[in-house]
Order: sequence, then C-alpha cells, then structure tokens
Amino acid sequence: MLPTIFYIGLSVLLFVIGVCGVLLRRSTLMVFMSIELMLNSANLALVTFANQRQSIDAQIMVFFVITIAAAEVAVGLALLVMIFMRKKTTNIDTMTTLKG
Amino acid sequence: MAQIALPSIDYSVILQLLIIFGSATALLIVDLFVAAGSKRITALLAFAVTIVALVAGQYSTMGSTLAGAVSYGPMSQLVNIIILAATAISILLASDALPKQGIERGETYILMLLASGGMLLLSQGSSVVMLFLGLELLSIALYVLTAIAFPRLSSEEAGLKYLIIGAFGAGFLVFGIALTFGATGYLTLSEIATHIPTSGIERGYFWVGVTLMLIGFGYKVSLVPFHMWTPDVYQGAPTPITAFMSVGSKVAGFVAIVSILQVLGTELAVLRPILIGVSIATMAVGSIVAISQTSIKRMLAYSSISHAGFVMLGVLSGDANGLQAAIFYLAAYTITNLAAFAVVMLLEANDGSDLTIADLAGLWQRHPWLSVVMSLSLLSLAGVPPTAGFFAKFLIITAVWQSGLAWLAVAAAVASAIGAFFYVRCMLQMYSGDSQTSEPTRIPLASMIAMVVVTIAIIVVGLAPWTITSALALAR
Repeated sequence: MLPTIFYIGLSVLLFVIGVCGVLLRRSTLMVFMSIELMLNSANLALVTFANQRQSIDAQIMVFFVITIAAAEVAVGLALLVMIFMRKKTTNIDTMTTLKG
Repeated sequence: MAQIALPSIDYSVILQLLIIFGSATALLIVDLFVAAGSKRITALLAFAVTIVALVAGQYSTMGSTLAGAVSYGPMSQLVNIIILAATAISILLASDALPKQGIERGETYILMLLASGGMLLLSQGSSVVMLFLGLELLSIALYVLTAIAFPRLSSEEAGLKYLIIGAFGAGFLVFGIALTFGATGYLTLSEIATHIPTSGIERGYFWVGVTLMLIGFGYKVSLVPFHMWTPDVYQGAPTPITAFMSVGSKVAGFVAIVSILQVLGTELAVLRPILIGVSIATMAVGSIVAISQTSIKRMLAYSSISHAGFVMLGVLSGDANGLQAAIFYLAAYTITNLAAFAVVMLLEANDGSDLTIADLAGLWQRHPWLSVVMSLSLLSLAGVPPTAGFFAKFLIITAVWQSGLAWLAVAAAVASAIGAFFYVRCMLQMYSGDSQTSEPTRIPLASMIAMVVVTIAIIVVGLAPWTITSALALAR
C-alpha cells in the first residue's frame, strides 16, 4: 500500500479542482458536480486517515457525508428544475432578479 | 479494525432534540389530514412543540451522552432558550404573513421545526460529526424555506444561491473535519483538544483543518469575506423566514465557532490576529455598504453582517467575559431583529414585493404603534441607551478593552457610530415625509402577540440587563 501522504495529496488535488469548479463554471449543474467533488475528496481523506489509524469513527462520518450530500443535491436539483422551466437555462449568470 | 461499540444513551440529556425531531416527523403525517385552507392548525401545533421543548429544557439533565457526541450544559441551556424562543416567534409571524401572500403550505412550519432542531444540535453538539450534522440539518431546511414562496422567481433564485454557497461552505467544513481527524485521530471536541499535535505534518493538517472548519461556519454566520450571499438571500426569502434565519442560524453558527475555538485553548493566540482582521472587516463592510441600500431587507442584511463582526469580537477574546458578552449580544440581536422584521413583514404588500426605505415615509401618521416598535428596534440595532442593543455593545466593547486591545475597542465604537447613521436615517424617514399610501394595515392577532413580546423584551433587557447577565453568570 502507498504511504498515506499520496492519498492525501490526491484528495487535496480533488478538493482544489472542486473549489475551482464552483468558482469558475457557469452552469449550475457543473457547480453541483464540483461541490460533490469537494465532499468526496473529503471522504477520501477521511477513509485514508481511518485506515492509517485503524479507527472506525471516520468511516461512519463518511456515511453521514454521503447521505447529506444526496439530500442537498435533491433540494438543489428540485430548485434548478423549477427555475429552468421558467428561464430555459441553467446558467448561473442569468440569476439576476436580486440586485442592490 | 475496531468493532463498532454502541454507546449508552441518556435520553434526558437530548430531551429537547427528541421532542423537536420526533414531533416534526409526526407533524409531517398530521399535516396530511389538515385541510388546505386551515394550515394555521399545523402552525399552532408547531408553536406548541417549541413551547413544550422550551419547558423541557428545565427538566433535562446536564451532562454528556452518546459517547461524548452530544452534551447539555449551562451554556447550551441558555442558547437553546434563545433558539426555541426565536423559532416560536417566527412561527407566529409566518402563520400570519405567509397565507396573506398566498403561501398556504403546512410544511413551512415543519421545516422551521427541523431547522431549529439543527440549531439545537449545533448548540449541544460536542463532536465535529454532530456539528456537521446540525449545520446541514439547519441549512437544508433553510434552503427549502427560502424558496418556499415558489413560483415567485426571486424566492427560487435566493434558495438556489443560498444552496450553492451553503454547500460550498459545507465542503470546506467536511474537508476541515477530515484533516483534523487525520491530525488527532479523534472526532469529539474534548479528545481533539487533548491531542493537538505539536510537530510534524500532523500539526500542518491540524491548522489547515481548523481553519477550513472556521471558514465553513464563517459562511453560515456571514463573516467577511464569506458574506456575499447574505443580502440576496435575505431579500429573496419570504420576510418571516428571513427573520428566522437571520437570528437562528447566526446564534447556532456562533455557538459552533465558540466550540471549535475552545478546542484550541491557549493555541488560540496563533489565529487571533486573523480573527481580529476578519471581525474588523465584517463590521466595516456591513456598516459602510448598508448606507447605500434602498431596500429595507437588504439594509437589515448588511446590518446583520456588521453585527456578526461585533459578536466575533467577543468570541475571539477567548475569555469568559468575552464569551458572556457574545451570548448577550446574540440574545439582544435576536429579539431586536425579530421586532424589525415583524414590522417590515406587516407593511409589505400582499405580492411580497420588496419594501424600500422610502415606503416608510409618514409611517408615524399611518401607524403610530408600528413606528414606535420599528424605532425601538432601530435604536437597539444602533446601540442607543434604553434598549437591549446598548448593553450588548457596551459589554462587547468592555470585554475587548479588558483583554488589552484598546485600539480594537475604539475601532468597534467607530463602526457602531457609522452604523447608527443609517438606522437614524431610516427613523427620520418614518417621522418626516408624507405617506405614499393611506390604506390601513390590519395587524393580525398572532403577529400582534409576537410583536408585543419582542418589544417588551427589548425594553426589559435594555432597562434591566441583569435578567440575562445573571443567567450568564450562572452559565459559567
């Protein structure tokens, strides 16, 4: 098995890709996927550390994260569908109703 | 790999959580049998649940259960009272305002209960897992509540914006939790505190982890530079929901920040310069940008950002005085903001269109009582003497001064002076100027009760602050 640091390096890389995706992509769907990437990079780190320390706690945490991520995306997609039916676009730059 | 050991559960420690989550689930079924036109019944049931939970807090046992993941202490007792009272008042306000705007949806009140359950979990959680769960329960319920006025586009967009920013913040929190676990090998706060690594790559993991967790909660309490969602979401959400989230999620988020900072102990000194910078930026941005706002809800959003900076000042001093001042500030901010939003809610048109500061013109002639309540809450937000807000600011600035940061106390005083400018401008608008419309606003009973309660609270806490400070002293 590779040393822990490689897995952590990969998860940090995935996390940074996720953050960049949220900040740079204009399609709301791609933003959702980038958020998933952030959460899953954290899951990878949790599982790696759990394996390194032979601990079960962090693995339980992973299940919580997966469940919450699913709930969050369910709400997000429901909102997106409602907005899409009206505007026929998922581009995040068109959401300009609120300005001040 | 270790076996899963099921911890013993002391149900009287988590009594309030059980009541809120249990009844919210039951109400989901009850709501099916409530006729579409009489969703007020669901609202009243939800209100009763919060009152029961409020009373149950007196009978819960102090202690820690579920293998140290959830605890109940004097501080969480006090914070739970603030959260549940805010929920009860918001439910009363929502039960009047939402049907008036044609939003007759029973699930609103159930979602408010679930969100308040998440807030209680944040205040009682003593493990990072519980803090994460509490934050997400609170957030996901609030995303839906923000968009509950569908098919109004502004509400839907606000919900989606809130969700994207909230989930982004949650990503930071989870990654922070992962790194903190990697550094210490524990998830409960007390164990993390005793296993802070002193050297090596673990120390790097630990500091990055703690910082990421603080960023995650920073989004929730809208600290600068993580505040950009606040005005849009506050403006787009239905007003009673804005009132609820502006107080509830801020109180709960700050309690979580306090729990994380307490883990650091003496190592807090490493982060303190950054935290001081963040709170000064938060106070300044909130106060200065609020001046140029025309929408009242946006102005109150920026004012809530600047108040977050003040609370952070109390939190970062890290001593008992600062912590007490922060909790007092949150309590005062809660009652004041609820009063302000109640007035905004009553003056709003039925289509839920945005209320501007110009719309307040001549309010004194139209509704003397509403303008008195609004003036009181604006004075309290500004920190003028006979109100709760004055003692809140006074305690924070004293605590900062005592912790040896005199220049910071002066900066806070300047920020509050800038803030006073736009509150006073709002008040002048009410007493001068001619009324645009002459139609009278009827004040429904539930809103009336809610408004009377918070108004009396503002005055009582302002004239007799020891009602809360003595409870705070006990909480030490």
